[in-house]
Amino acid sequence: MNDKTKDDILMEVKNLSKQFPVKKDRLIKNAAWLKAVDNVSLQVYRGETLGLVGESGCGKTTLGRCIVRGISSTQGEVIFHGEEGPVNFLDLKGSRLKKYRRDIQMIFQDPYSSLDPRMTVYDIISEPLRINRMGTGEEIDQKVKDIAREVGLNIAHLKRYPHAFSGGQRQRVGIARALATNPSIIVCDEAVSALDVSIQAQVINLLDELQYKYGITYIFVAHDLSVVEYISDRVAVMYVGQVTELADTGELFSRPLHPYTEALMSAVPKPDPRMRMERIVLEGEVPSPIDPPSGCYFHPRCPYRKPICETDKPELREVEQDHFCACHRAEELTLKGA
Amino acid sequence: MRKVNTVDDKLLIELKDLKVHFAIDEGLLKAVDGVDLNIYEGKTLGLVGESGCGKSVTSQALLRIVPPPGRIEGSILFQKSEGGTEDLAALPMDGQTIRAIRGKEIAMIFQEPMASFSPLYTMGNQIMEAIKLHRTKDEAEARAIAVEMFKKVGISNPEKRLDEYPHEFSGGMRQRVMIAMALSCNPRLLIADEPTTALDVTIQAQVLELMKELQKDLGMGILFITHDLGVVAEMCDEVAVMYLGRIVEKAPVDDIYHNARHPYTQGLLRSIPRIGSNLNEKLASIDGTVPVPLGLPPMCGFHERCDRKIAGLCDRKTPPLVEREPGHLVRCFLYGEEAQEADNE
Ligand SMILES: Nc1ncnc2c1ncn2[C@@H]1O[C@H](COP(=O)(O)OP(=O)(O)OP(=O)(O)O)[C@@H](O)[C@H]1O
Ligand SMILES: Nc1ncnc2c1ncn2[C@@H]1O[C@H](COP(=O)(O)OP(=O)(O)OP(=O)(O)O)[C@@H](O)[C@H]1O
Ligand SMILES: [Mg+2]
Ligand SMILES: [Mg+2]
Repeated sequence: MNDKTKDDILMEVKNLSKQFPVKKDRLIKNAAWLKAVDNVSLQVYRGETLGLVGESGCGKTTLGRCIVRGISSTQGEVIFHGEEGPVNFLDLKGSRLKKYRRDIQMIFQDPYSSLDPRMTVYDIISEPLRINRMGTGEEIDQKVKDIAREVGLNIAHLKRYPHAFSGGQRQRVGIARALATNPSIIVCDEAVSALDVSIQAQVINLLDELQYKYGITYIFVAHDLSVVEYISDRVAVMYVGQVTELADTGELFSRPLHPYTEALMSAVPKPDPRMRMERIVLEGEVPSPIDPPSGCYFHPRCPYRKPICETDKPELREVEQDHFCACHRAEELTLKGA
Repeated sequence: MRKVNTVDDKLLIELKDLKVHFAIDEGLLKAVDGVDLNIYEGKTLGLVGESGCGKSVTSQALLRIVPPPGRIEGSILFQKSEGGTEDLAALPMDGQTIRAIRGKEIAMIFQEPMASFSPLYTMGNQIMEAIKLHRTKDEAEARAIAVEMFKKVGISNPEKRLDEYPHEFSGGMRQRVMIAMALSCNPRLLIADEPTTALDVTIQAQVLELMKELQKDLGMGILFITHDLGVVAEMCDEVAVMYLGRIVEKAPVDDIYHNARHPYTQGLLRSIPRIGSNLNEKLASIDGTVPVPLGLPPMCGFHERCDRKIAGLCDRKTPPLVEREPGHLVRCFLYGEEAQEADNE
């Protein structure tokens, strides 16, 4: 994915925000707002995998759900470049919306709550096919079995209900369901986090293969940085609702420009007990998206902070070619990668 | 490096030939099929293995919360704080005794946070209920403890967050609330089922530190279930590898990583993606899938996927779990006399 041009863009997220109302407080008169996603802009290239990482609660799932219209956005656009040229997916209605929905799928983080407990696994996987009338009964049946096999589910168990499956097995059901409609982009929210490493490797290889075969684009949310590094072409780092760094994967991992990214890299546990290691333990509290700190949201925990960081909010800017970072000191700091 | 199983170690719980079988339409599903494990005070035992191999069901058995039609056999000997042992496997499922142990003596962090909270009550309600049951009757004090625990697991605005409902929390935040809840009653045994799967690495580091701290202070024993071998390396003293309802290898943590014997364990270690290595290659994975534990004949459960299987042996007999080196147990014919015999035939 080195020569990116405008033509290669599949999706543009523009100034997307999502706020949740927070219950009234005895002390504060007006209802407060929780800015889960705060003015995020991103471009996603056709056929790439864009990794999305960041602190728990920083807005990754919310961003994903806004993109697939699982929830409504407070503000912003999601321009989808399909066969008919660019359309704002968030504006679509009726049959056009239905058509585009097939193209934009999501694999959900919590397999338990995202699978309907009253439906058999077979029905869960075939539902999107039936709703969209994608083939005859027999074709659908064949397709369900093929997908189930591809994700490593036992065909003999498709008539069971989700509760009789283990956590990892349920996650595979979610993946199968998302694949059913041949989407062009899938938001994978912690799609492999619940899987043991060997199945995880199988599923990652599967996602890779499907990308190679059908050109599927992924937005890949995960907290396991080694998985993110493996699967992503580019990676975006989020912190308290905002994108703080975005770059090609190799670049981001070897030369991070944002102190938060550096802290993330240092916290990855090494799979070797002889390397129980020193990490940058972030001091200070996790900031609240209800009343975020002044200036740079990361400044209270940043070991490199300067006075300006407490007052001025850094914009996401292209510090080097294709390497975006929102830090006042991006040029002067030399940070450690993974 | 901490040592494993020295004479000073105090046994906290002992599983002996634990079996959990589900009678379902298709037959008898042997989710857990003869597991022996010891957990010691102040020590962490890691339990790893393929999805569906029976890790969660094992831990459900410890708390006696296996859903019907699950049936438990074998014994679960728990060392009571006031002395003496109690066989949890023999207790009635909803009796006084087990309910007094649940939450207070043995706490559990469940794999799927959303499934373990009621959507109808605030998080504060749910965590304070546990605290009031086991630690204090005083409402204000219970709330103070809850706030303190929220802070410890890195949840900002704890006062406000206590009054919110589960759906208002992110996946990782729910997981952290559950950790806070499990730790709030100072349990002697903590069962952590994939406790950090939904957490980013910095919060994960913070939570792991918190567990280690409490372990040091309280001498808590931990059963740590995870598929993250980085976390296992970080946290565990000893590791048990499970496959198809059985333990196939158990060893001190260093041995597992540097001297793995079972082909399945070796395959697991090969499958870990490591930062900065072979990005253009396909990840190594173990081909095939785990058979379902329904009406299986005696055999090594792994033989179909094993590239070192011994025909006529691994597919006919169930290998025994044998101590090959001090503290290092392996269930594999490759290391026994049977292998040589098969070679000679
Ligand atoms: N309530 C149930 N009824 C019937 N079968 C069940 C039930 N719960 C679990 N099982 C089966 O028991 C086996 C073990 O499941 P368990 O949840 O312990 O796996 P696990 O090792 O925790 O996997 P994962 O890593 O995916 O969480 C699986 O084959 C599963 O399908
Ligand atoms: N329905 C909701 N109502 C109120 N607040 C919400 C709701 N959904 C999410 N939030 C809040 O929005 C913020 C972002 O949540 P989100 O689930 O997007 O985080 P995340 O980055 O996916 O975190 P994780 O890694 O833990 O899954 C959190 O503070 C969360 O509490
Ligand atoms: Mg999330
Ligand atoms: Mg489990």
